[in-house]
Amino acid sequence: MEGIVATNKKDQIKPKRRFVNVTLPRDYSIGFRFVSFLIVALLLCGVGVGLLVASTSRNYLRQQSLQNNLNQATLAASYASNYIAAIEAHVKVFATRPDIVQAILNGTASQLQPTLTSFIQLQTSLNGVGITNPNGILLTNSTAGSTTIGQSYAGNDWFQEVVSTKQPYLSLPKLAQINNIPIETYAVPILDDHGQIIAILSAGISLKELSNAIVNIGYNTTTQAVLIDTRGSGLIIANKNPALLLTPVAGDNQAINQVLAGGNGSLVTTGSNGKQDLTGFAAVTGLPWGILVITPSSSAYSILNSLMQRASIYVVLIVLLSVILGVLLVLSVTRPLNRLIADTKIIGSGNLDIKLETNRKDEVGALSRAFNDMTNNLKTIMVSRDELAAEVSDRKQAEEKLRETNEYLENLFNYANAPIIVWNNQFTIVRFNHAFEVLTGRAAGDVVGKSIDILFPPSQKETSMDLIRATTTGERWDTAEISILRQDGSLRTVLWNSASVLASDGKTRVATIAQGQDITVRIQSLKSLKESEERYRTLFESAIDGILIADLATRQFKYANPSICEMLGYTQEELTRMGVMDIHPPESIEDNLAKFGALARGELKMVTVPCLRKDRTIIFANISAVKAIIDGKECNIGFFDDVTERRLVAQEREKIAKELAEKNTELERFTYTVSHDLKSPLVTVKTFLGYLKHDIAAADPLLIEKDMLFMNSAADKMGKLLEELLEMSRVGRIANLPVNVTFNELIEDTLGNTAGRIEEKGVKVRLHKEPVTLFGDRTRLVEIWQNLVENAVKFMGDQPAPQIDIGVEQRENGTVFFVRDNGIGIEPKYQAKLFNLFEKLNPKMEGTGMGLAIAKRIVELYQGKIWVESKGLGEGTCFFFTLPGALKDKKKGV
Amino acid sequence: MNMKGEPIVILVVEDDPAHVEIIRRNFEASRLANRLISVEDGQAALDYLFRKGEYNNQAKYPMPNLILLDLRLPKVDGLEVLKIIKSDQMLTKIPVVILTTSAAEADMVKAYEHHANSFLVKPVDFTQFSKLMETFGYYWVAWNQYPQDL
Repeated sequence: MEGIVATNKKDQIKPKRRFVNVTLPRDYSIGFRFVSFLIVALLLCGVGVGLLVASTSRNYLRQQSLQNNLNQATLAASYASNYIAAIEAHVKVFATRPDIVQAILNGTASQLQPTLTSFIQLQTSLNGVGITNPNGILLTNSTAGSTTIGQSYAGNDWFQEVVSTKQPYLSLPKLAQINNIPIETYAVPILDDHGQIIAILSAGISLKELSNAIVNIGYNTTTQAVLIDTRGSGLIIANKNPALLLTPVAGDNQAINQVLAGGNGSLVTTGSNGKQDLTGFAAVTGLPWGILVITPSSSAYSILNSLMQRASIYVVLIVLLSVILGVLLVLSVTRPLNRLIADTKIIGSGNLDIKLETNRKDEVGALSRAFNDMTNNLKTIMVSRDELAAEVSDRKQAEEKLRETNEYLENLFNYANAPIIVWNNQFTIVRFNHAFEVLTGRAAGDVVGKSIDILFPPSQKETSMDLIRATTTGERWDTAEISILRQDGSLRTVLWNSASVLASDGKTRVATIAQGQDITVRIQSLKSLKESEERYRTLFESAIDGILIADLATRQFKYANPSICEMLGYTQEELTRMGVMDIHPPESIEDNLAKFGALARGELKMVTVPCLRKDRTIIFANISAVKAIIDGKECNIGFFDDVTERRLVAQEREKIAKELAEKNTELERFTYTVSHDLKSPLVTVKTFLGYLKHDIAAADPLLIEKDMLFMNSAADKMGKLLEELLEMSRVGRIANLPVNVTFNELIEDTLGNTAGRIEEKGVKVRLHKEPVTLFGDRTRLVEIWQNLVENAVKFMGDQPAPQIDIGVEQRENGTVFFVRDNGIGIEPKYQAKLFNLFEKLNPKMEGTGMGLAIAKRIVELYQGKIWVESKGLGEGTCFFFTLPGALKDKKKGV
Repeated sequence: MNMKGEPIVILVVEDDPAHVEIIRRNFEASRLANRLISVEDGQAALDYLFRKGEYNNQAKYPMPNLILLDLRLPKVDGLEVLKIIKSDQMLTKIPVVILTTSAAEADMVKAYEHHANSFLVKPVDFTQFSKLMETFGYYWVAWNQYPQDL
């Protein structure tokens, strides 16, 4: 509320705003009179200065304009002079050209027309040229087929002048018939060697170009430039207004007279319209010409005039602004005074709660503050009388309260659980509570009045007293650790905080109160905790097992020991930023998590899982885990044992064992077959020998022959078996030096070796040639194909169009060779047995069942595999095999 | 012919035709009237016993009373044939006598494991072989009793 501060009494009637009922006193007009005087003075001053500036500016502008016009006139005169001089020079030189002179002397001047035409084409300011004879008859001109040839020009001023003076002459101006532009003819005599006139060359100079250049002179649009031929009374030959061309110069002011007289200068003249002009003028050197440059004075002063107009507007605006500011000034002084008058009237009526507005910084503000002080003093006297009585009763109550508080504090002090002690400025113990008695084992009565240092162990007395002394400077302890010596000689570690006890003045320190907290037990447990932590840290850091501690909820690692870092190739910092999901190969993570689950449920004590190292290699670790609460979180402590190498060794061992078992099986089969298959023909021979004996005795020729046949066949079979067994035993050892041999060469060898049987059965062999080179024992390699081809021929059955395909396929995992036939085929259930030693599917077939076993053995020597594919009986058979060993090593070949 | 005068049907499973001839001659010599049928591989033996293909002819190929089985056979091995016979509820009642060239202990153990009824090794001597077959004939053909309802 502006200007009023309401008092705290609620029943106070708010004073009315004083604008309403206060009227301005009449003598306010003093301010306005002062303002009016100021404005008049300002106006007079402005007008005076304005007039002075205007007059000076006008003079200056006139001088500038005159000088300017004179400069322009001089410049234009110089330009005109040079312009005409250049043309005259060209015409003069032309008139002395030997071909022109010679043509005139020869009487062939009429043939000069092309010469004249080409001349004026070069001189753009010439209208035309013509040659007249000394009698004024036109002989030729620059116009082809001109009609004026033969006419007389004897009456023209230029003809008469040239004939009489024998000098070049510039004629009076006249208007050209073609474009109404003034021309002046320049005539030159053509002389023979004796100086006699033989003809006159006349050239019409068009003033158009010159006129354009001159009339555009002028520094503003109102300035006019006029070119005058000064002969006679002067004729205008260049002017902006074409109507004025070739008219006499109007008026007879001084400037024109001076121009006609060939003078240069500038003048203020009065034009034909009676207005003032500022004129500059100049004569054209070497020619009867003069130039006038005229600017109407009104245009020269136009800048000044507009300036004056604007200045007048500013003056009016300034006056208006001054009036407004004056009024505001008057109001700002009179208003607060009027308010003050109104407020003092209210105070005068007895209302002391009115506060005057005192925040003004001027004299009115000071006056208001003085009034306020007065009313306040008046009020204080009134109030103090009423309060005295109330104060007396309040103090009585306070004393009672203080007594109660003291009692309460005393109890608090004595029976507090914390030991509390008070000492004075001389470090003498003043108070000592029950808890302190318990802490020290001393009775309060024994220590009060004694120096405080009796409480400290001798070795720490000095440092403890330093801390005590520090409190006299007003220092407060928040937590000071000071040990206390008990009566029984043991030490207690106590944590203290202290505060000063001040006298009633609130400043003087009379004693210090300190409260302690016995932390002996806590420190001991902290110490043992630290030791145990140290123990476990050493275990953790130096463990051979990798240890990772992971938060169960987030699966993020919290700690990693050096062993796990080495195992996984990460630093500790890296691992603590990673989680369980980051250290296992993504493809096995699901399986791993399932195993960890079993570990967590206690179903497994240990799991073996793959782990992903930083370098992306995979190691295998045996992991066991225990749960623990670490840093308040449920965590898993995982122990990692790198078993990668052990696994590799185990795998290798397994592989070797498997190979060994395979060899064993093969060996068993071998001995078995040898014992069976070799013995079998022996049984036959021996038995039929017995029959033979009987049959010979019985003289039964049919039976004798039969017996012999059986024996023969058995002996053959045995021979063949032995032969192939020998062959088989050779396969294991590579007898020949390995060489580079192409697939095609191997097939050639094969077909050469089997040609007889192939031909016999009429088998068609199709060879799919491939540019494959192998490196190995050529003879052995050939045996593979040979056995397969023989096998195919053997099992062709009654196929009417037997056929064998031999070729190579490039498959994803390497080169695969194949031998395919369209023979009887093999039932799927026998395909596995096919490559076994002495295995025969058909007992009636010749052979021992070793061919495929030998092929298999050779293939295996080159780390290859052999397998058969057949859809069944009658479907044909295809043998496939690989020879990585022979393909891999081929580069070593020579 | 057994004691009741009925002929005993013997199935000889043997791939060597010479050995089949030896067995045949021995049985003829012993004059024990019986019927000898031979097949030359394991698969044929199984087809015969399970009456598959051409063997589905009761008159021509009667169910044998006794099987003489060689161990080393083409297509399906003798032990495999034995295993199948002995795991079949009906065929298991037919006595199977292994007659093989091999005297390997492992073969014998395996054969008995698969419930072979007897294990004989072909002797490499005419007299021995004849004697064996003679004894075999008396025992298995003359004296041995066979179930009727095959």
